Order: sequence, then structure tokens, then C-alpha cells
Amino acid sequence: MSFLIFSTKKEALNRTEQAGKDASLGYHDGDPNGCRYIWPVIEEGGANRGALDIEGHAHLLTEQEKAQLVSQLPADWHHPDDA
Amino acid sequence: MAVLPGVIASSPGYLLDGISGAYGAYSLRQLSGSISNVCQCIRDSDSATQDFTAAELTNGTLANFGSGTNARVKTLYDQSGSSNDATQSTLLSCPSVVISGTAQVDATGLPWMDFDGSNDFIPLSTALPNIDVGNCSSFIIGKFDVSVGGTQEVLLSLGTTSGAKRWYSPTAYNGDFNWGYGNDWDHHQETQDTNVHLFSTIAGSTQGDWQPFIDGVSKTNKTLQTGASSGTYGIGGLNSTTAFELNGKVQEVIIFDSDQSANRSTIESDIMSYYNL
Repeated sequence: MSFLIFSTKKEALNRTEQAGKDASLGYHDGDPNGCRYIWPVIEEGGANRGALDIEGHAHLLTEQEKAQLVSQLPADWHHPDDA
Repeated sequence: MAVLPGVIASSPGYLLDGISGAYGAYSLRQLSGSISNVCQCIRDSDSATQDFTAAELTNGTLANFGSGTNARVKTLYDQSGSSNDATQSTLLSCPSVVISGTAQVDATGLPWMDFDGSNDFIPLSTALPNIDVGNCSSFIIGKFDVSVGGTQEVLLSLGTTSGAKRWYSPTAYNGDFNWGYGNDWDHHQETQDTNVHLFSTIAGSTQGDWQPFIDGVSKTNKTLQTGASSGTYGIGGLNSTTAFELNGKVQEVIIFDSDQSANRSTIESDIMSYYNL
């Protein structure tokens, strides 16, 4: 697995939406019910970091982003509670 | 001839032609004579989308659409007549019905959605908001692909920790099927397997309690809790697209915002007969 880590969830959301635009997903072609984002956003518990789960479509990443990919979430990542 | 409440006396061609009042009904088979398309799929290679009837999922149309790539279910059209379509807006969180050109089907050739255990999830919290956990009935056909360990996987959730209005029906955790209800995340457990089952859960004043069923058999009965659920819930996950994700399959989900105990055996018989259970 490959993850791209961001300081905030909003930054992660903005990046996956930009990828959606780059891929001309339906939402960005005028279909309000179309797909809007490419990669799932992983939310850290609380109002903390965000990450993208890059399971495919890596060609939409920049070379700099590809170099920043990590195979695991950071060790201090706060996973959501429950159940 | 006695007619159950909510059951139309005429002989129905489809399940929901004879059972009224579903809040949301999602399936890869046709459940109502008044609908045509059951889902919209999107393929990975070029993000093209296409609507499919139930027949088109198995007659080669879907296989042609997904030839050489992956095809995913982006929208499950609500077959209840309420227009509560369930949709996923993130491409790679949509469950797959074609993987590398191969259509995903069960042992009898019926199509199913493959949830990857990583981030596949179809949220229902927007389509079906404010579910009263004291007046609800859910029916889901699905399976877990593995014996689940210490990371919980959700087959269906209709409520969350938010407000302590859980409806986990069921999850799998530490080798058990697990039902969460209201203020209790592990309200009841049964030994888990990886077979396809019909999981029914009903709560309401007609039945008088909360009960989970596997393949039509009640597993316990417990005190009703009440109140509207909130948070993010749905098919194959809970809270977000990457928490408690299902590694497994789903073929059909029918939700009623009412106590369907009077119709339970009729609904279960139709579903179990169709899916060869």
C-alpha cells in the first residue's frame, strides 16, 4: 500500500479533488452525481492529519509526490475509535 | 386468504411489488417492476460510466464494459420508489463488479460487489438519514471473505457511535459475527464463517424487542432502544471510507424505517430462494 501524508484532512481532500479534475471525472464534467475524487482520504482521529490511499492512478501524482509516498501510516497516527 | 400487513394480495413478480414501504432497496437483481436500471458502474481505465439493468450485469453487457479493466458500482439505484439512491463519490472507494476484466459472481453465477477490505464503502447516511434504531428493519445478503481478527469489519451499518445509536448488522470481529446496537458496540456475537448469509435485524414495538437473524433464524432478543442515528454509515464500512472496511461481498440490502416482523418470513423466503440459501 502507498500513502501520501498531508498536514490536514482538507489538504488531502483538495489534492484528491484536483486529481479528479485532472482525470475529468463526471462531477467535474458537469454531472453533479458523478465521481468527484480519485483517492480515498484517510482521516486521523480528531482534527488532525489526512492521508490519501494511493491504490491506483499513481500516474496522476507529481514526481515529487511519488517520492514522498510511504508504505505505512506514521507510527503516531491516531486511528479512529470504536466501534 | 389472510393477507399480512403491507403485503398486497396479488401475486407479485418482484419482491417489492408485494411489500410496500421500504426506505431504501439496493440490489444487483430487480426488486420492483417499476424500475429498470439497478446500478451505475464506472470503469477505471477512462472513468466512463454506464447504467445497467439486472439482466445486463450477467448477459455480457457489463463484461464488455469492463473488458480489460476494473468496473465498479458507483451508484446503487433505490428500487423502493423513494429515490434514495446510494452513491460513492470517490472512484477508488467504489466496490468492484469486474476485476481485471473478470466479472465478479457467486458460485451460482449471480453478480456481487467485491469490497476490497481497504477503502471500498457505499455510504447510506445521506440517502437514508435519521434512522430510528427502535423502529427499523434491515436485510442484507453478503459474506466476509476471511475469518476476521482484531480489526473489525462492517458488512452493514445504519447508525454509529454518534449519539450512541449504533446499528451494526453485522460486523465481524475476532472470529465472530458481531451486532452493535444503540449504546453497545458488541451487543451480540455468533461464531463467524465465510459463507454467504442473509442477515436480518429487526427492532420495533410490534415485535417488541431487537432481534438479529441469520438465514431466517433468530439468534437472541434484547430490549429496544430508540432515537435517530447519525454520523457516517453504510454498506461495507463505518465513519469514513477507510475505517472498519469490509473484505467481502454484498449482493442486496433492503432497509425499512419500520418494524417488518409481520413480513419478515415473506421477505426472507424470497431472498433466500433467489440466492439459493
